[in-house]
Amino acid sequence: MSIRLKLIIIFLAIALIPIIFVSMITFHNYTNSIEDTRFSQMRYLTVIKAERIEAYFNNLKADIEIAANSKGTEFLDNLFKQLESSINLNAIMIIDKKGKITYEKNSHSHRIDLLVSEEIHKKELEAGKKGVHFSDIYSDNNSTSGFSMMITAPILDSRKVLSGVVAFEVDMAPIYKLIQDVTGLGETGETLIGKKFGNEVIYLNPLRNDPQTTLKKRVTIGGSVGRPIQEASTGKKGFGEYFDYRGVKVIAAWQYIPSLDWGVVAKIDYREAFADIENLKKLVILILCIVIFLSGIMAISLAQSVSAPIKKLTEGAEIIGSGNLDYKVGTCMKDEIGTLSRSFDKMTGDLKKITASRDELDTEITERKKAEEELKALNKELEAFTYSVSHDLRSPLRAIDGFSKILMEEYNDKLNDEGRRQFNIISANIKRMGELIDDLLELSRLGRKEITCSSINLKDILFSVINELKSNIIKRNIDFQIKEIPEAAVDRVLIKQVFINLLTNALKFTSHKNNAIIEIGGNVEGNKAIYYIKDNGVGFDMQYAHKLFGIFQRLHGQEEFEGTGIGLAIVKRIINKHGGEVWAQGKVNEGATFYFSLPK
Amino acid sequence: MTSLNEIEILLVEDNPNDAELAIRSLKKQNLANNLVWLKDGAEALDFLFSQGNYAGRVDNKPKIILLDLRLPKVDGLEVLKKIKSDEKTKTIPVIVLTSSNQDRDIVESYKLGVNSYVSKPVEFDEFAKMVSQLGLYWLVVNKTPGV
Repeated sequence: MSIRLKLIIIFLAIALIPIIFVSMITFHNYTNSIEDTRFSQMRYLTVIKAERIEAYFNNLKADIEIAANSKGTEFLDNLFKQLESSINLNAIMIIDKKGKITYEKNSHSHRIDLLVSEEIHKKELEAGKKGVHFSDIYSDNNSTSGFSMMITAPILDSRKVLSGVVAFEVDMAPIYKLIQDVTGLGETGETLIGKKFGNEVIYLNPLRNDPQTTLKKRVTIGGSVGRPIQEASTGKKGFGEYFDYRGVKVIAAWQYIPSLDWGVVAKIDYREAFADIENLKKLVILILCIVIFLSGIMAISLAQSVSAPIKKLTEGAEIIGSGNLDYKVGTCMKDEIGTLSRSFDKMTGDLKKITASRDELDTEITERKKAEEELKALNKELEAFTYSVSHDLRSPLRAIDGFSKILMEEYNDKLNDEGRRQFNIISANIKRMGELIDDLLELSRLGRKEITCSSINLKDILFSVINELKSNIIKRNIDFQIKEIPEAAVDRVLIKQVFINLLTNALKFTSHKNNAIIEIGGNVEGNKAIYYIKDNGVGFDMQYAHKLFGIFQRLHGQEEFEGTGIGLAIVKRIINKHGGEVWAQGKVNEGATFYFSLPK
Repeated sequence: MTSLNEIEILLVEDNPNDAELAIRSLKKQNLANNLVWLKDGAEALDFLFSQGNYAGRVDNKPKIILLDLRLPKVDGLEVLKKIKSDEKTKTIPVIVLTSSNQDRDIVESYKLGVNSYVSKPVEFDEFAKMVSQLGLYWLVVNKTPGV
């Protein structure tokens, strides 16, 4: 994924997550508050409507009780007139115990006899004997609203004995007016009343959305349609979101009116109740879209401003990486990337210089290698030369030696003392030359020999060398002091030669001492072992220390100490071959110490 | 004990001085009575296998061969190889007597089946001592399969 894409995603995430979060919380809170408001509104309307209905019927009850206790028709005439105008009373009538109408007063258009003749009204009259009774609502073409109710009440004489029944027929218009008042219910809201009959609930008032089906519209109890009226009619009180008689989702509240056995419902379509929420939702989505769009533009431009110089730098790096060290990224930006670009350009410049010097170095190394190889070849040649020279010198020398000896044997008696002395000088020099040649050969042999190292107990080698040397020394008092000798991985034969040469030297240079002390020891320092051989012999002047290990280098005269001057050169060569070093310390007449190191 | 024409020592040596010194040392021990001295490898091979100048020579083999390595015409190692690869000559003890002290020569000689390898000392006394010891050992002490 490119840096640009990453930046865009990060920026969008940072910008949008809080906005979406806040929006959702706000939206949720607002929804809750709207819901609360709507439900309270519905509950309030339900309570108000129920109270008013009850109040209406309580008044009616009081009126009919007054009528039942009244004496004389004049009072009833006045009451009728009063109630006809105030509550649309259709009729008042009084029936005696035998069912005979003793008083009747109708509104101008009403025919009371029809009322009485109907079977249903007989039942109401019967019920009225026991107390105030409200009939069910029934269809009545003579009524203004088309629906009426009958209220009946008993008439008692002075001895509290039933003497007849008083009946009111009221037009439902005032109640329907009350119920159908949709103030505060918007476009779709309404209040309604219903009553349970068997397992059904019948709607008792003209419905806002279905005004022609009063007393005909019904719902089954337990069904999902018209749930609020089912609840109300079965004596419950509550509120919630349900489907109304049309099957439309509504916000509703409901309660039961026990005196009438009616349920009251106030409801409004969910769609309308939460129209604000829907609008808010649309607004929020619109705002979010705008924010996303703007954030997107900002993110892209920000990412562009960050990634473009990086891209430029990357391209520059690739160009430089492909070998064009003259390329410059070149930017005048003041930020970190600008600084980076300039540092990068500087680095490229430095790299160019380094590359140039590296090339020089490479050339130098190549030349050096060449020189080294030439040197090696030269060295080899020199060694071969040394070998063949010393080898070829042996034969003539042997001849000189051999024939001079023969001469001495055969003509000894013909020489005088001086002749014999001179002859001995010849012999001594032949011997010395032989030694020189042998040592030279040994040195050149070492140069060509491959060493084979194994971990060896140097103490054992040292003891065997000392024993060999002791057997050659007669009449000398030598104190060998052997200290700690660390182990090392060495070539057994060569390291033995080292000890032989160093100890021979030590013995040689202590030869004038009566009590020669030769101390041998070593210790481990880091990754190497250091050994020393210390004597109390003639020592040497430290200013010639560097000459000690050179070939044919001698610090003493031949007459003082014999030797070829090759022994230490051999030691140095062997130790160097093992990857170690040799050095020496000493003082004239105070002994010498020879050191060598070996890798552990 | 030995017949007159029985060769006891074959000395192959190109350096006349070394040869003379060796012969002198052997003579002192009475070991050089039946000694043949040849100066190069080719001659040595001709002698041993009765060919060239020695064609028709009666086949009698030396008891020991003292062989130098640096030889004109045919090299000492080549001579050694021929001797040791021929059924008739392979049982003759060959002692390499040379100035060479090189490891390579020593190893190669032993690979080819040399019986002894000796480096010539420079000093005559030692040389003389060594040659006479060699002669005594190989001719008197050492037992070889009979001819």
